[in-house]
This record gives sequence, C-alpha cells and structure tokens, in this order.
Amino acid sequence: MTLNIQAHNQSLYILVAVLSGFIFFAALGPGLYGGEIIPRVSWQHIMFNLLCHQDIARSFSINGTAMAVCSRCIGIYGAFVISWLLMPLIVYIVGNRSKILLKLFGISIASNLIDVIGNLIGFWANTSESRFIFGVLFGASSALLLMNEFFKRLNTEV
Amino acid sequence: MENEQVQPSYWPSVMIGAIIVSVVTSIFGFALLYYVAGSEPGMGTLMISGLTIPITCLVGLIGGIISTRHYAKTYDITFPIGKGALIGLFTGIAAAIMATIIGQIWNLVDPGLMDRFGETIIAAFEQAGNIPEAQKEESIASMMENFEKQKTLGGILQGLAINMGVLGIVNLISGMIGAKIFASEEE
Repeated sequence: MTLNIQAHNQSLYILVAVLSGFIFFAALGPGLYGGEIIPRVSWQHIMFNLLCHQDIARSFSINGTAMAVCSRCIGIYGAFVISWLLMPLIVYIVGNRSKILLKLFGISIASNLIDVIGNLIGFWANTSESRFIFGVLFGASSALLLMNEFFKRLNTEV
Repeated sequence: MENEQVQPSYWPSVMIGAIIVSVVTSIFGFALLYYVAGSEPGMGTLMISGLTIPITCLVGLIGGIISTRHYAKTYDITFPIGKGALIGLFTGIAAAIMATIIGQIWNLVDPGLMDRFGETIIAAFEQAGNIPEAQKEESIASMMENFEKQKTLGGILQGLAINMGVLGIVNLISGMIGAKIFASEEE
C-alpha cells in the first residue's frame, strides 16, 4: 500500500500562505527591525488597532519593544501560519479527520472564552504564557480545520 | 457552465457582516481612546493594564464567519471555500471603510478627542524614565508627526488602506472557515 497526497485549490493555498506569513511578521512589531520604541504609532500597531487591544502589559516584546498584538493574538497568527505550511505533512501523517478537527476547533474557541471570562470575573489570573498557549490552540485548529479542502490522503493498493 | 445554477447575490450578507464588525470594533476603539484621553499621564497610560478588554481580540475577524453563515442559512445553499474566501475578503474591506466613516463622523461629534489622546500619550512618554533623552525626543517628535499626519486626508486614506488590507486578509481566512462549517459541499 502506498500513500499519495492529492492537492486541491492550490492557488488559494499559496495565497493564504503568503498573506498569513505577512500578517505574522507584521504582528511581531517594530522590535523585529531594530528596537524602535514608539508605542501605538508604528505601522505594525496601526495595522492591528482594529483587531487587538494591543495592551503592552499583555504582549511579548522583541528588542525591548512590544509586539503589535497581544500574546494570545501572536499565538493565533504564529500557529496558524506554521500549521498552514505543515498541512501537507500533517495530512500525510494523520490523514483527513474532519469531524475530529471540527471538535478541536470548537474546543479551542470554548477554552479561549472560558479563559477570558474566568480571568474577567476573577476566578483566576491568566498569564501571557497561558494566553499564548490558548491562542496557539485556536490558530492551529483554524488552519487544520481547512486541511481537507486543500490536501487529501489517498490510500492506494499496489 | 450550462448546469451551473445561478446563486443569489452575497452582497446583503457581506454588508451585514461588515456592519457588525465595524460597529463593534468602533465601540471598543472609542472606549480605549476615551479611557486613555481621560487618564492621568504615566506609564500606566502606555500600558493600559487597567482597561482589560480582551474580547476586542478576534472581534475584527468574525465578519467572514457572520457573512458566510448568513449567506448559507438565508438561501439554504452550499458553496466552495473559494467563494467563502471572497465573501470574507469583501466583508473585511467593507468593514474597514465603514469603521473609517464612523471614525470621521465621531470626529465631528468630538473633534478634540484625538488631540487629548495624543497629548496624554506624549505626556506619558515624556515621564518614562527608562529611555535615553535623545531617543525620547526623537520618538516624541515622530509621535507628534504621526498624530498630525493621521488628521490629514492622506493620513486618513493611508489608515483606511492599511485597515482594508489587514481586515480583508483575516476575514478572507474566517470566510473560508465559515464556508467550511456552514456551507460545506461535503456529506
């Protein structure tokens, strides 16, 4: 038996890979290019001002400068682009499991909501690291949910 | 092509998604501006840790999901994720345009808001003790230049173009997710 990967919607796959890669590098903020310390007025911060609260206290930093998005959002964008690029390999290894991936996507949304609500009402205090991990879960599950729209594993009897 | 059914227009769904995203993001944006503009300058102003509105994250990217869900459920149809991506892209672009219009209308209602916001941020930055003086002066000059630029037509159009790009991209992705969940052609 040999395993083959069949690709679909290749133009859209490449387009999303390029665009999400650009979004991820922009989200890393101005610190990536040399430590410019101008909060909230860099083009990267302006890019994400409708998408993220950009609270410096809730963001990681590079070269002493806060990223353009919070720790949860950088987890989402980073995990999305990495999962997107690894999609063919993941399909090859685990195959197409749409229902499990849909459940994983639902769990990732629920876990982020529970984390946010629990923190807001004072049940626990989340940290940059915990928010990052929940963001990674959401970003990766979002990309993997779309996996079988782009790649399908075919089992071929020889 | 002869077997292809004519599907209804997706523009009403695009506009619904765009209105929801632009109104919600504008409300959160104004809340942040008023909070900073009304606070005492200090490092806390730069950090805004007192105002934790974590749900603002992700609100901007739900437009694609709202539009594709509305389109699929209203007409009870399925469509490929490529079409979902297109619907999401248009939703993001329309949301950016609407958010800019809302911002400009609010600018007429409270014309001093951006000035108060800029003054508080710059005053807070002047008080920061951990930055070398020369770098601080250069940064403040750059900030003032940026705040002034954002009031000009060129600055507004530049902000609009940036927001159209980023909201377009993230909603393109959420449009694909919406199409996958609500309009998948798979059994």
